[in-house]
Amino acid sequence: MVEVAPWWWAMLLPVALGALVLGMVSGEAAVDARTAGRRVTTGELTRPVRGAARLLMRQRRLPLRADAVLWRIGSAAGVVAAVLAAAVVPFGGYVVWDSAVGIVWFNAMGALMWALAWLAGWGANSAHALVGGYRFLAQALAYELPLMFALTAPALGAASLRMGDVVAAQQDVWFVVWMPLAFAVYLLGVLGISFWGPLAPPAGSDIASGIAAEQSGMDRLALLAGRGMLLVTGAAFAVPLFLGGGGGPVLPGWLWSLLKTVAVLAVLVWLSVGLPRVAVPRLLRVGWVMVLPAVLAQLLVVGVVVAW
Amino acid sequence: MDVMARLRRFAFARPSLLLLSAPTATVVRLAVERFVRGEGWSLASGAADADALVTAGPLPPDLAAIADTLEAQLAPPCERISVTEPDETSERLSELPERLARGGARVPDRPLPEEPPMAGMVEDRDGLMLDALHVPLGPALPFWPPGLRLHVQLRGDVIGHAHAETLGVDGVTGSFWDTAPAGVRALDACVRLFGVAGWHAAHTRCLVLRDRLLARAGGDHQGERGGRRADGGDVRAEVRRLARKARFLDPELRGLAPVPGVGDAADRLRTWLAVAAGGESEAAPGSVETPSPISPARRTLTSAQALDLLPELVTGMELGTARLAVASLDIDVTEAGIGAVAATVGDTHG
Repeated sequence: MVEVAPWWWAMLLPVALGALVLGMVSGEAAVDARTAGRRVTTGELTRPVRGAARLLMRQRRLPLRADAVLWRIGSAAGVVAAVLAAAVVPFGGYVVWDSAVGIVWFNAMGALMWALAWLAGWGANSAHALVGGYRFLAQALAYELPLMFALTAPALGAASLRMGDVVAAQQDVWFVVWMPLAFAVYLLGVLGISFWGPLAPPAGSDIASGIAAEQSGMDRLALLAGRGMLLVTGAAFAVPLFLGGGGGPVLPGWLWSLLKTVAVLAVLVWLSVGLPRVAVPRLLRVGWVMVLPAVLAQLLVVGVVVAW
Repeated sequence: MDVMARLRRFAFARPSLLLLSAPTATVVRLAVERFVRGEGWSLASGAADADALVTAGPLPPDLAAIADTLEAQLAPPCERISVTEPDETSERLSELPERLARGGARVPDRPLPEEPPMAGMVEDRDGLMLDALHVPLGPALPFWPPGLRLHVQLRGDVIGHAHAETLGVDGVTGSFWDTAPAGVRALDACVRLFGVAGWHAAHTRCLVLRDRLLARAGGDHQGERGGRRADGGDVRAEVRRLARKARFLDPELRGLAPVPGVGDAADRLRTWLAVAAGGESEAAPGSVETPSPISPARRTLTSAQALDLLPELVTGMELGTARLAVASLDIDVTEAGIGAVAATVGDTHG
């Protein structure tokens, strides 16, 4: 079962998340190189590392009359939110913080992005960044409620908000088997939190990178790292939530957790690479007219099964 | 060599470029874009993330002034590079990583641009009072027609008022596209539209296909450097595949910026892809010496007409939607019939 990990795991958490983000964007870089007709070489795979080094070497630039404090908090605190969220994610048989309300904690960290994305967009004192901030809030209106209900489904199935109990409840059947809709909606929510791929309008190419429009150097690196770490944490959290945690034959639990996380990430990256951005008004329509009723119906099914 | 120098070399091996192209320098712009794709560099979305300002073509005074302003916004280490001939692209750009690793150029001491003035308070769609901003769009935006600047009044994220301006077109006598294959222009338009739509994979594929068609039209049968040689039909087949996938964009493009006789943005995208699919046969080996001009059936909307319609079309649109609309019109400011256009439209209580 899930036990509390030794204290030094907490130190490793940011490093592990960073490594997963680098692995993921390297995968993306490889796909991009192939699409652009280049051979996939080491040079292509190290592109993200190079990019990070480049941002570290560049001077930061403060836009004219920006609200520097709020702007930098908004840009950099995504990393913190991601690490704090990852603290309640069981990995194999261990978890850094065995909270009794792990699911709520994860959701709270995701909800922090409402404030952070807005601060990053507003603080830059730039039209494109401001529009990015508006877009994040509008987009969050579309995904946040469905995401919360999607998170409720496993909690209801396990009759607990503690991640250890959620994993234990999936010993026989993974939750994804009888909560597939909740799983799909959860993944959509993760894309939304990190405004990634089809849900990237807040940092869209049509508004010159929106929230990221004015960021340079370390500020930009922090913002990009935060988004990536939120996506990776979201993928890792899907494993104990819907995919039976570290459970699986032959291999040790930690390896199963890692393999499942990478598989979820691969799905998210595949969606991001192959699909165009979804405009926010359309997302709002789909979110409220289709996704929300669907995930409520899913909850009803889970409730009936549990009561029965 | 010390560690720091090696690290700098590693970091700046693939710089990010802010490209400002003279509207007359299409052939240079295409060469720069092709170089960037081939080397795995990137084009910056704005001055904040750019390592270098790259200007394509000799810049007329109005664009040169804009280039100076952009250069002043770059954070060090940075460089400014001017490419005026397509043949010198590789030579000029290849030295950039080394120069950046050595610390870049001294930043010229120019005053930063003034903050855009507030337009005061206006009523938004719901009758709320809202700040309105004057924002110039272009000419150095990604996926934006070179030489076009659209001044918009932004209320939140909605355009309340717009007027268009053309830059760098004084004394221009003709367009690059007058003699280039129609398929190349169609794919160049797709590149911009897919780019604005955030469809990265389709955008990149169109870049590859555009460069391949262009190379073949120029008699350069080698096409892709180090890549497999594209033999007949493969560009056409891939464009057809893209055309089938393009319906992914229908929800954003259907009904967008409709023009009588030309259809909406989705129709125009379909037309481009059809031209590109057909353009393959026109540019097939054998006929490469005589590149076909743009077929008259391709578009019944000239750039001059599109530019006239533009301010009215984008008024009331969300900023991103307006960007899609602009990309869907494939405006070339060097096309015949465009003088110093200053079309203005919008409501007057601004």
